[in-house]
Amino acid sequence: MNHKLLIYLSILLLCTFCTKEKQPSLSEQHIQIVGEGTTFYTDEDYNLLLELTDTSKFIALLN
Amino acid sequence: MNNLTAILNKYHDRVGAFPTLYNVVTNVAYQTLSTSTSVHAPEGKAFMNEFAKHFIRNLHSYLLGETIEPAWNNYFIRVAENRNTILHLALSGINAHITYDIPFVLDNIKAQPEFEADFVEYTDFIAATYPAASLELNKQYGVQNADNVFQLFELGKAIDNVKGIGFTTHLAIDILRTESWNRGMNLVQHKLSIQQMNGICWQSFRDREKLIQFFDDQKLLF
Repeated sequence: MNHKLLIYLSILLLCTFCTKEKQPSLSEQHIQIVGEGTTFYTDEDYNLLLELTDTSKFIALLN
Repeated sequence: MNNLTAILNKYHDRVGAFPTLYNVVTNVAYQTLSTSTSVHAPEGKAFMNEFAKHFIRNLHSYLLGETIEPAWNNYFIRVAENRNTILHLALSGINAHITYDIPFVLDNIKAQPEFEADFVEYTDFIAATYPAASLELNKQYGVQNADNVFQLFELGKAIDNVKGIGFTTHLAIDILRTESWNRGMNLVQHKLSIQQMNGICWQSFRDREKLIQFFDDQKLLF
């Protein structure tokens, strides 16, 4: 019984140490006004949003 | 704006409340201004482009955690706090855009007094698109009462019954835009400094935010 418990504990410890800590997404890293109502985006969508809102590269809505 | 709004809508992101409405307006503006034969059409296009930029660059700052202009900072704080409805957010966005942005946009493009007639025409887009904007807010976020709010509730409906559908919305927009036009001219003609105008616009903006909050407290902005 003790032997089994030791195996379980060993596996549990191994899993804990091997689990890579989740990296926060880019939006989680950058957005500062945060609360219950905040939406975080995938890195791909976040980068696309940044690109679309970059007024230095802004293509006029109307030419 | 279409691509931007599509991403925000995909997440049902509260940030998308104003752009969802604004996207309807800019689509109509695009169609109308593309075929405009007015001598002031270039000024009109510059106005609409600069107008859009005000929101877009603040959204960019929000995404990067950088400094946001006060009226738009209020919007993003309301988004995060999750205490206000989507319709409240859309109205706060309109408030920021009309009360705060317009005078500075007019100054940015150095609008001349002769541009006023075209300015009135372009800002009519906002009033004319309210049914389509209400539908889009309903489709994307389930907003139910936008149409009534844009018609200023029952009193507006009663006036519309006499004066014609949309009269009240146009009247409200007309009052707001006339004030913003005059403020813009004061900036262009250097009668008031940017700092003075910031103070004036910020006060008006806050007063109107209180009114929007009152409607929200009465559970009318659903």
